[in-house]
Amino acid sequence: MDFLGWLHDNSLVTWVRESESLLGYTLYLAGHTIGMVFLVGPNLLIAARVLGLAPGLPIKPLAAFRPVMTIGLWITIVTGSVLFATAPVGYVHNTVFLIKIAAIVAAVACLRSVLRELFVTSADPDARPVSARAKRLTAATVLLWAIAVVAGRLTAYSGFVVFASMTAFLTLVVIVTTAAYLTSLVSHRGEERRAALPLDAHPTPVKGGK
Amino acid sequence: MESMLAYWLRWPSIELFITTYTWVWPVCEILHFIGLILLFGAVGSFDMRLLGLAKGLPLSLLNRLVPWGVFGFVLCVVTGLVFVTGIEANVGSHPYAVLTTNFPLQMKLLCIALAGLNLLAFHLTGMARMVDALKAGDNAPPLARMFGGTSLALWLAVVYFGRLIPWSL
Repeated sequence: MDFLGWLHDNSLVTWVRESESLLGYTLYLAGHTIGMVFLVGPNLLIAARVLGLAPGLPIKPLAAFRPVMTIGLWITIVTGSVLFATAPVGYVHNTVFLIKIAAIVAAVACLRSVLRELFVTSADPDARPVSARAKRLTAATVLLWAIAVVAGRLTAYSGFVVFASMTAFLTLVVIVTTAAYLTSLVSHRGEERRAALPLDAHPTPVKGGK
Repeated sequence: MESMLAYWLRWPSIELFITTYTWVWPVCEILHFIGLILLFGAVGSFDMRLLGLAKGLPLSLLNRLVPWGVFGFVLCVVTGLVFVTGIEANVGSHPYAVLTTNFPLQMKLLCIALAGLNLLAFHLTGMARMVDALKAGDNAPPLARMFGGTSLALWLAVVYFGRLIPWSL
């Protein structure tokens, strides 16, 4: 029997798949999500600092989240392997699942590279601005996590639903990004106009008026 | 009371939305997960700092990222309401029946309510203001640590029970 067939019919895997116990399938399903939030959650915090959304936040102490993310990653790998084993043939033939795995591998590679630059090769990461390379890699990591989450959810669906959901989600992303960009553009213009006004053009509050 | 609650919980317009467009349910699931990650990235990190991790981070600066967590929570609430009010279109059970019989859903809602009370207590006891004044390297007071640990445990329970809901339908 081939490996995937053996994996599927393995007595332990069969128990996980069919058991109603709290230690069965649902434990791995819930554990997979919990691992994900411990991995991607702190990663977003680091990304917020690197990409300028949290200026002033010291970088060096963020290294304390590295073991948290490592534990999160291992929880997702172990629980994900068990979930994979419950339906291996279906998963290896599911393109969306393969995209998810590729996105995760790429995201972890980018994340490792960023963490190495911030916490290993640099003695004091707060001494100088974050490099453009680290910023690019961080942006790539966030995008790859988004792809992994979207593909992960859509692994449960097939055919037209996957296509329709992806189109709807991308449309939503484009609308939100455009709206955010336009808002920042308008507020930036407003600031520029206020800054360009001569000093005496600013209205002075009148005291003692009616 | 029962019939009124049952009437209010079922939204035919949402059901129609879900049955007309096959992408509604999966896209809401995706947004629910993104909201969850934002919540954990902001609030989970804040809780872990309260517990003593990454003490070099001033809590006041982490606090400024909490609105992202609130945004994530709002995403989860909105998409969660789509799931509950439109569930009949997906699994054929009335939302009232699901709410009264689905144990993981009941536990999840209870944990969310407790997390809300925990947050309220964090503010009412003055701990929120106290930790905001802490500098890099300072330990949070034991009571604040307790609130942080409780918050983290409750949100993890929310994720755990949330994943179990479809298996009890």
